[in-house]
Amino acid sequence: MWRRALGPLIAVLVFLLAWEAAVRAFDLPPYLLPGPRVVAQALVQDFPSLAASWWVTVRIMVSALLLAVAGGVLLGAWFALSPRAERLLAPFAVVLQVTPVIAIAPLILILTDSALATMLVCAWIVAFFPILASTVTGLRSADANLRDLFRLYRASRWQTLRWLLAPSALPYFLNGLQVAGGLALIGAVVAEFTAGAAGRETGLASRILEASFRTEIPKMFAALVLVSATGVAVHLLLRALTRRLIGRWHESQR
Amino acid sequence: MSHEPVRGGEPPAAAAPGIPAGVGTARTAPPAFMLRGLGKRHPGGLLALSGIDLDLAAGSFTCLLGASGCGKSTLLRLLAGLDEPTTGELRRGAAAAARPAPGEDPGRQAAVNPQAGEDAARPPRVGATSGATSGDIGFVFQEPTLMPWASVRDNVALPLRIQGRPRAEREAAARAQLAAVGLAGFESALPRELSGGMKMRAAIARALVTQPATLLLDEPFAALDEISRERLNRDLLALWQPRRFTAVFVTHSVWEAVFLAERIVVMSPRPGRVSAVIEVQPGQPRDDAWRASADYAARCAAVSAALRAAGGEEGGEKGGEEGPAARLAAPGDPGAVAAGAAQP
Repeated sequence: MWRRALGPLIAVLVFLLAWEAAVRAFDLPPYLLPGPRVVAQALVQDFPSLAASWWVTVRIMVSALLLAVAGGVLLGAWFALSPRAERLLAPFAVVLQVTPVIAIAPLILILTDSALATMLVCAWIVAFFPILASTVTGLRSADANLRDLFRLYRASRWQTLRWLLAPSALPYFLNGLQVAGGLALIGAVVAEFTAGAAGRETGLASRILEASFRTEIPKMFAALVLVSATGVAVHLLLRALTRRLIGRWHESQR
Repeated sequence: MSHEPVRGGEPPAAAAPGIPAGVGTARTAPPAFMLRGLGKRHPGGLLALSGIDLDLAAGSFTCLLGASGCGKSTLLRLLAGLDEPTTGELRRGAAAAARPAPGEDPGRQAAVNPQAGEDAARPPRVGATSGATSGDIGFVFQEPTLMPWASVRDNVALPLRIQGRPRAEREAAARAQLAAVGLAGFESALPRELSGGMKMRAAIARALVTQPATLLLDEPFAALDEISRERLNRDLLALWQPRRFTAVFVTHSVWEAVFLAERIVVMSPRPGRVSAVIEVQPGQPRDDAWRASADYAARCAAVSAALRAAGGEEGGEKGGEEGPAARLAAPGDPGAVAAGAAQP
């Protein structure tokens, strides 16, 4: 595990060193491109305000993801059980997915009159679709012979769902969750750019905007580092979850 | 109308057209399945099966033999109740053994001749089936069809779990079946840790875990290498002999069919029909010595000839619907296609 992580860590370290070296060699001013050392200093210096904003963004992202899982799985199960429901409602889901979330954000801001609610709704919209799609595909992917076997023994719908359809869908769902996790963070940040920094609680996007207005480029980089680090953490966490749930049996995990 | 199976000692090759016993041969055992004029048209319009008249005696071992597309798998699915017939009647278990209900006309069924345009002559009760409850029938698919996320034990215990049996009983039964198929010690393994033959053994253990009266097998060993296949054939017979479930085994291998079956039902394609029914000595010990004998080879040759006559191989379908079956139903051989023979 740690040995496998060593390679990427060294690659990142080399990249940071090269960056720092380039900044010094070309004598780039910090307001154009700060080196990693200056960014780290900004991160420490502005930590209280950055951490508070980070926490806002994380809370929005996690809530949106949880709501997307709940909605996507429920609607996905309904679609999988009733093709007619899918025919009727799938167009709405598709419209929701293909419309750029940044274009709907102002509308949502007017409707909800709250920057936080706008962030939550936008993050939910982008995270919802991959979970819905993967759940529907997953629930339909159960082996046809195994379905026949459950029918042969007169299994109830609930038994079939619990012991056959749900485990068959799990790898697909986890794949969708990976995608949705990244999208929820993007949705939360992008929506805040549009919704603006209204109210007391503001996320990392507000810090980035603020820093750019004040040309505090190192602080901007520090906020960016936090956004990326959060995304990477979500990715690793979901990958660990996937491994734990299906690592023993699924082909994708070999 | 009873038709004694040909006993050993006769040259079997010479008996090829004579071997076919009555489709509805009255046996001492009650029928486990009774098929009358059974037909199946797929939703796409393709007629997969037509005019199948067949009685399967309880505790018998029958092979359905034919080329691809002759409807053997479809017939097996009908027996299992996984599909419903579009014409004719299928009875299972006690319903097959019982006399026809007063409302039904046994005479009409007894007069059935598969050569006549039977689909129209059938009673209008569309796709009637009766019998079978959960666990009465075990089914083994072409692929092992194990749940990849569950241990071998949980896979084998699945039918009992669906039936709501307590955990202790499920696990004891699964363990016993796994031991019976030679997989003792693999209870906690995952399917992907087993070889192809072992997966198939697990699938057989699962099919037998409810102690079913019937075991249906759909070309279960077709994907295995020859050695595993022969071993599994022997082991399947060893499982069948003491338990005497009604076994129906679909295969396209003549050698496999002759080795396993008491009775071989040769099917012809487009639409699937019964083209010949061939008895293989019931008392014959089926071992490697017999497999190497001239008797076995001669029987295989006879069955191969019947299969060719059925139009299954190398485009031998000359006579169309009238051809192969009619030739086998020569005068003086009343058993060959006498569908109603079992009727009192």
